[in-house]
Amino acid sequence: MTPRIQGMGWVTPFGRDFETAWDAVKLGRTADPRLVKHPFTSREWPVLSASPDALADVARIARIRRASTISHLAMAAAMDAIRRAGCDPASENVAVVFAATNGGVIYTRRFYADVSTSGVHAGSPLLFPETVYNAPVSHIAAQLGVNGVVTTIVNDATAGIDAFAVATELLESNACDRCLVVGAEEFDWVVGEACESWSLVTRGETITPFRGGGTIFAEGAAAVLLGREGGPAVSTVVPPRSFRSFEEGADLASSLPASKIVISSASGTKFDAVEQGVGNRQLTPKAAFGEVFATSSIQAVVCAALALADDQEAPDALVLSTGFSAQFAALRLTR
Amino acid sequence: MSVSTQRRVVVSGMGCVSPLGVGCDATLAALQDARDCVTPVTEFDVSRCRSTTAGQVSDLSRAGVINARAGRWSRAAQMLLIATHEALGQGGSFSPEIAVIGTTSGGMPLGEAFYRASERGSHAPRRWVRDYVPQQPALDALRTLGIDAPLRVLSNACATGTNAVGNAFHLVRSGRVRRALCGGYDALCELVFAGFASLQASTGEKCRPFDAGRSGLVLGEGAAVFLLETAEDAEAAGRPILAEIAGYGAANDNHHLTQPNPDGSGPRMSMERALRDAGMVSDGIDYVNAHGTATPFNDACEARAIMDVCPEATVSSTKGQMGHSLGAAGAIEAAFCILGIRNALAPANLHFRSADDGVALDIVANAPRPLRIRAALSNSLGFGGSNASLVIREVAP
Repeated sequence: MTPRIQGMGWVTPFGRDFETAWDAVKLGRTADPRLVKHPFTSREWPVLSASPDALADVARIARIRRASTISHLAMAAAMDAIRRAGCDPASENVAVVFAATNGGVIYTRRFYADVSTSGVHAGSPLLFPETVYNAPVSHIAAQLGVNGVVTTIVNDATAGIDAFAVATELLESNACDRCLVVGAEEFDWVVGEACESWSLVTRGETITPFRGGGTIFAEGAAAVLLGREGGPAVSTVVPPRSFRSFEEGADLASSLPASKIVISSASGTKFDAVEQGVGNRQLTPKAAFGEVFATSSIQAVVCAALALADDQEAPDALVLSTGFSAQFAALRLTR
Repeated sequence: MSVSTQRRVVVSGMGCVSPLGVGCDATLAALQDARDCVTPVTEFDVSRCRSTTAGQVSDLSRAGVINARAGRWSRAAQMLLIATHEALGQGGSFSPEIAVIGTTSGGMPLGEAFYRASERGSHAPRRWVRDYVPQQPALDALRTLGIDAPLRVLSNACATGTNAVGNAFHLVRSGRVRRALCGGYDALCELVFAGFASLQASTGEKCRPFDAGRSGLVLGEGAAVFLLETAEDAEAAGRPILAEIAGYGAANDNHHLTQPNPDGSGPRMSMERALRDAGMVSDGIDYVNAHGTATPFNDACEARAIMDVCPEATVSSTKGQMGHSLGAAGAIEAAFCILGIRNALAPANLHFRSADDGVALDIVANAPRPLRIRAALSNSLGFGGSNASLVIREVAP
């Protein structure tokens, strides 16, 4: 049994439709960043985000009215994928696998800021529940009426690929009939500060993969509904493998069978070296959407499906993912 | 594939670090003594909190595993390293094809230190950033011990440790991998302590699971790690067979982000699914290690579910002895079940006086009970409606 894509959704800095965002990927056009400032210093970071208008419908859902941005983003992508597939999760056996790197970092930082300032007794009970990594997927499951397998995978960007491995396992074992893979990330200054010391961030307004200069962080989401029949198949998943040097990572990447379509995770950081030698021509969605960590890998799978739709002669598409914890993962979509 | 033709998955190595002790031998001794290992919190200031105690791991250096490099890691990473080292040391060479690790907060104490430095506008050491993310303690522990397997990190709140063991169990049973390393870890940290305090879920009194006068949980910390493979592979390699993982079930109750559905549907579904997965009926379960946090909501919900699914089983929550170790809890409690199976011992449910009206469970009140456990069921419930159950069986000599 090979899982096949039945529906997709995403939230990118260009909104929720496929056409505008996919054109930006093909043109390598970076969305317009906004600036997020460090509250205590002069440091600031460019960030790519969707307009709040793009999430207006999900913001009205009662359960997530007070939830953090990450849950709104995840819900939007999940609902779009479900709707496009014509799926009714409440009456079907659907599993949900959520992938994240930073999780609910805005509420986590706000909660801990209160604790740091006023003491351990002073945290807000409204914020704390939303700090757990599985908060977004629990909102999705409740909204969709899913009571089967609901799980959250946390890792660097490779978590987005591993989520497809988990989905494949669930479908193969008949633990579910369909599996929704979702990723979402929000941005907070504390993420920018964390990555500052690792020289990953650009001060510019564009991302130039494989040429260094640094990346731009982003908010976003992606969702892919998998089932036993449908569109492109997830034929191979290479789970996250750690590497000790960029050369070792590059060996992992270049050992994969070639593909005409390669979706790279390169985003202008030193980690691009891992994927530099794979294929003749690579599409780099992060140049358009920014670095969305685990979500980037799921957005890349959506890109791979769109690329296969564009190029009817390509038999398959290879999705690469290199994470900042020095791990590499990959996924192959076939017709 | 029918249950009868599926591979039998066994535990061929186990490591455990908890407030009860560092290592399985020390843990067993504390279980046999029904030792209360909850102590005043010393890591940070809790003087203005309702709860001022937690189960805390001491003497990490005594394990002889923490070298100078590991000495700079978070406590979470150190506990995971020690537990992994112990598991791998029990049965000769073991090369896992995957590592599945559960956690809720990773190396958060370093994240807290990083935030405090950022708040002052100063640059924190780079390694604090590298080390606080949830995957890094696992990557560090595995790399240090020469394990090059793909890493999967699960985070389903307090059900996570059970999810990790269950996921690895399914991977081995299905034949997708031959050998898996799995478990869970979490260290006490200010953020989580403050979180449960904010919800008024933690108590200033003793943690009294299933007691009618229970007033909340105390937090804990620790790590437990298991080596899973088929019985045939373990025998062929000469590794010990400690127990069999026979079934796993997970369920989501969709009720509330922090409260279980009071009708008990979440744990009931996960227990029923675990039993079905094991090809068992409920009267085959001799002992249930309950999630039993001692919060009013959790214990009422779980008691109802246990009475529905395993009414004849002997039941205890071990959280009265060591507190709630969150992402580690499910793994540590699976280790307790295995120790109980191998030593004919049902661990104690400390600080128990009397049950809620209408709750008729055979609670192991205040002292361990000699009991042959042919099969145990271990429950975990978590935020977000996460519920998970494992069936663990004895293996005939």
